[in-house]
Amino acid sequence: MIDDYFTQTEKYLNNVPVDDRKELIQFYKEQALDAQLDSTQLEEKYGTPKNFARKLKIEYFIDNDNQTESSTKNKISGLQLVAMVILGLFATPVLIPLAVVVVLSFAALIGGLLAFIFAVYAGIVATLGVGLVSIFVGFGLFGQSIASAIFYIGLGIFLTGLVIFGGSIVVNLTKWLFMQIIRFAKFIGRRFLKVKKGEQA
Amino acid sequence: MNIQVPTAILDGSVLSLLEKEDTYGYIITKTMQDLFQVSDSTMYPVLRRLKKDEYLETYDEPFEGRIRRYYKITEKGKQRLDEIKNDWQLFNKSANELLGGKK
Repeated sequence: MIDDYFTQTEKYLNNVPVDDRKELIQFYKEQALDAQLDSTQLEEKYGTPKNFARKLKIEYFIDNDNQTESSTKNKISGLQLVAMVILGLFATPVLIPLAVVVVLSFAALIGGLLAFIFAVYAGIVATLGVGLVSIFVGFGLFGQSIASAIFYIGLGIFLTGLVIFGGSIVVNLTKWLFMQIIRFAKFIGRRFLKVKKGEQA
Repeated sequence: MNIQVPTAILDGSVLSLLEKEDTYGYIITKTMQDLFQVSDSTMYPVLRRLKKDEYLETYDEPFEGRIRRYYKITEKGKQRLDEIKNDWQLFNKSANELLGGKK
């Protein structure tokens, strides 16, 4: 019975909001009934209910992620999306070699990104530290040399200002780099995990 | 066909289909697959977005003991279709100038 197939698929769509889940199932069930598919043909076309649900979820969340005005309950975090795409690749036997390449690419990208972020943020903290110490030292030097005091205070203000202006650029750059990783995951999801026409399980 | 169908063309084609008559999901998907070889899952997000943007609305009708969901173009959808048709004319003309000539 195709009812069983769709009931099982619906169970696996657990993190899709109920209304959207019902609508999604209704759409595909109606298609199956109109095309007069039986449960064997359904499995041949879409795969097991679990695999079908996985692909539907990937498409659903990629689609919602692209609609900036969507409410947050329809969305998952970028990392969840990446994890969903990787699991989807591993669930499809022919895509396992690609999954391994993608996992290694993600690991390299995220590792590189974390190293970069660590280096940049350590630099920011160090610059801020030197800036604040310079201001402090500058004030301490007023009794001995006004020129030195002004130099150190000026250096301190310059470095602190640099952190304030540079910091926001670095934060935005970090966000942008993470977005590129998510975009890559979405590209992989769209390219390889679509519910294709006449797909074999 | 190896050309990926742009979103505006998918939207326009669905709206154009619905401008002729209200119809249901299977017919829309089948027509679009025959025309553009799109995947099964391409049409659900398109219909969902068109409904969200109020270019179409849905209503349910009983059919052989079950419910069949029909899609109907709205006034806003008809305006959108006119825009897409105009854009398409311009695009088509430009593309034809470069790609349409015989060798």
